[in-house]
Amino acid sequence: MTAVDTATRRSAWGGWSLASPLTVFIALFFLGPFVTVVQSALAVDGGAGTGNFLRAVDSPVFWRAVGNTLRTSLLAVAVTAVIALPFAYGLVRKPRGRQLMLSLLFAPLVINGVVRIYGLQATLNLVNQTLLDLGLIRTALPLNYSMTGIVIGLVVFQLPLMAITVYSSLARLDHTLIAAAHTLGADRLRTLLHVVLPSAVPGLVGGSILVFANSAGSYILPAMLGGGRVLTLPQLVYNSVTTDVEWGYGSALALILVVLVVPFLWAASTRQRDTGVSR
Amino acid sequence: MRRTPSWFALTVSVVLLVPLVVVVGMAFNPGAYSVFPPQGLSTRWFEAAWSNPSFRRALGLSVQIAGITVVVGLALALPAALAVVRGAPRVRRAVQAMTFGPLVVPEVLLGLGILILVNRVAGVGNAGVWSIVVGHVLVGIPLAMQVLIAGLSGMSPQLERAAWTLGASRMQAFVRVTLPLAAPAIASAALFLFIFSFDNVSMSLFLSRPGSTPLPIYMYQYIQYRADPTVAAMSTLLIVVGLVAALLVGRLGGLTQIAGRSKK
Repeated sequence: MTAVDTATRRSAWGGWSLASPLTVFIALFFLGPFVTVVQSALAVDGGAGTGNFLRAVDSPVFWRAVGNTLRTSLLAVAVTAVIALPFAYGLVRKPRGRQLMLSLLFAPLVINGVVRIYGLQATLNLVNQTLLDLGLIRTALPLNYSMTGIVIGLVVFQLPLMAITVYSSLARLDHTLIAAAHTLGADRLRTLLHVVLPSAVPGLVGGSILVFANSAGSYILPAMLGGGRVLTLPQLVYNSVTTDVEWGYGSALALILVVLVVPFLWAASTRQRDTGVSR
Repeated sequence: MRRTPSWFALTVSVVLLVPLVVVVGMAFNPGAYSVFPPQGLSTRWFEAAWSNPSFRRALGLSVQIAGITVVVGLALALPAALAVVRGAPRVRRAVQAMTFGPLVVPEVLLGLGILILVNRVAGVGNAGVWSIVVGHVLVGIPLAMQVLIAGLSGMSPQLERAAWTLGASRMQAFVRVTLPLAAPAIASAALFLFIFSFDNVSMSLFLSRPGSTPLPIYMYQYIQYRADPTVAAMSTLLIVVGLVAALLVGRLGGLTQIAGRSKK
C-alpha cells in the first residue's frame, strides 16, 4: 500500500500515540494533584473523615469569606455586563478603529497581575488625592483596601473577556433585522430592546459565567486590593497552607471553592458547544 | 454602518489603560516616593532596579521557567493538536476533555495539589523550579492547544498527500510541508505559553520557595515592604516586555485565532 492509502484511513492508533504524552502529563499532574487534594481534605487523625469540612462549616471566618467571595464576584459580573454591553455594541456598529480598540482592550492582559494591580492601587489613590485637592470630598473614599476596590479591580480585569463574548454574540446579529424593524415603525429604543438585546443575551450569559468563575477563583486581586480586610475563599486557602500550615483544612476549603465554581464553568462549556458562542 | 468611532468604547479602552500609564509615570519620579505625575524625569529607579541582584535573579528565573514551559508545553501540545485535527473523533473528544480540566479548576487548588504531591513524593521543601514549570505548563496548555488546533485545522491535509504522491516520505512531508505552514500557529502558541508562564502569579505563589522566586512573586513581596519607585521601574520594564510580546502575537495573527475566526 502506498503512503496515501495507509494514511487516508483516519488513524485512531496514530491519534492515541500522538496524544499520549499529553495524556500522561494530565494524568500525573492534573488528576494526581486533584486526588491528592481530596485525600488531604479527608485526612483526619486516625483515618478518613469529614473533620476538615465540618471545621469549615463551623467557622464564622469561613462563612464571611464565602460571603465576600460571592458578593465581589456577583457585583463584578453585574458591573462588567453593564459596561460590556454598550462597549460591544459600539464596536459592532461602528467599525472605525475597532482593531485598535480591541488591541487596547487586550493589551493589559500580557502584563502580570501584580503590576496591573499595583497600577490600579496607585490610580485609586490618585483619584482620591485629586478629589481631595479639588475640594470635592472631605475624607478619602474607601477605594483602595476595600470591597469596592476589589470589585473595581475585578471589573478591570474581566471586562475584556465579557466584552469579547458579548461582541461575538452581537456580531451574529443580522443588520438587516434592524433596518426591518425601522421600516416597520419601531423607534430606536424598541429596536434596541427587542432586536439587539436578545442577540446579546447568549454572550452576556456565557460571559457572566466565566467572569463569575474567574472572580471567585482569583487570589492575588482580592489579596492586594482587599488589603487583608476583605478575606475571600482563595485567600483562606492560601493562608491555611502558608501561614498556618494546615494542608488538610486548606484542601477542604479548596474543594469547597471548586464546588462553587466548576458547575458554572461546566455549564458555560456545554453552552458553547450548543450555541457555538466563542469563549 | 456609521464611520465615526464609538466614543463610549474609546473612553472605556483608554480608562483601562490609565493604571499602566500611572505606573510608568511613577517610575520616572526623581524623589524616593511614588507620586504621579512625576515631579521630573529621572532614570535612577531603573538603574536601581537593574542593579538589584535579587531582581535580576528573579527575572532570570522567570525567563528560565517560561522558556522551559514553552518547550515542554509545545512538546506535549503539538502532537496532541495533530491528534485532534487528524485523528479519529474519539481521540479528539478525549483530548478536548483532558484539556478542559486545567482550564476549569482554579489555580489555587492545582497549586495546592502539586505542592502536597511534590512534598509527599520528593520530601518537604523540595518543590523548586520543576514544580513551577509543571504548574505553568498545566495552566498554559489549554490555550496553546486552542491556538495550535485553530492553526492546524486551517491547513489542508491534501498538501501533505500531494507531497507523498511526489515521492516524499511521511516524515519528510511533515517536516517540509506541514511544519512550515504551521509555524505561525506554533510561534503564537509558544508566545502564549511564555507570557502565561512569565506573568503567572497564583500558581507560582504556592510553588515558589526562598531561592526559587519568580519575578511576579518577588515584586509582590517587595511591594509589601517598600514603597519606593523601584517597583514602578521594574513594572515599566515588564510592561515594555509585555507589549513587545503582544505586538509579536498580533503580527502572527494570534488574536484572531483565539477569537476563533479564520484569518484566511
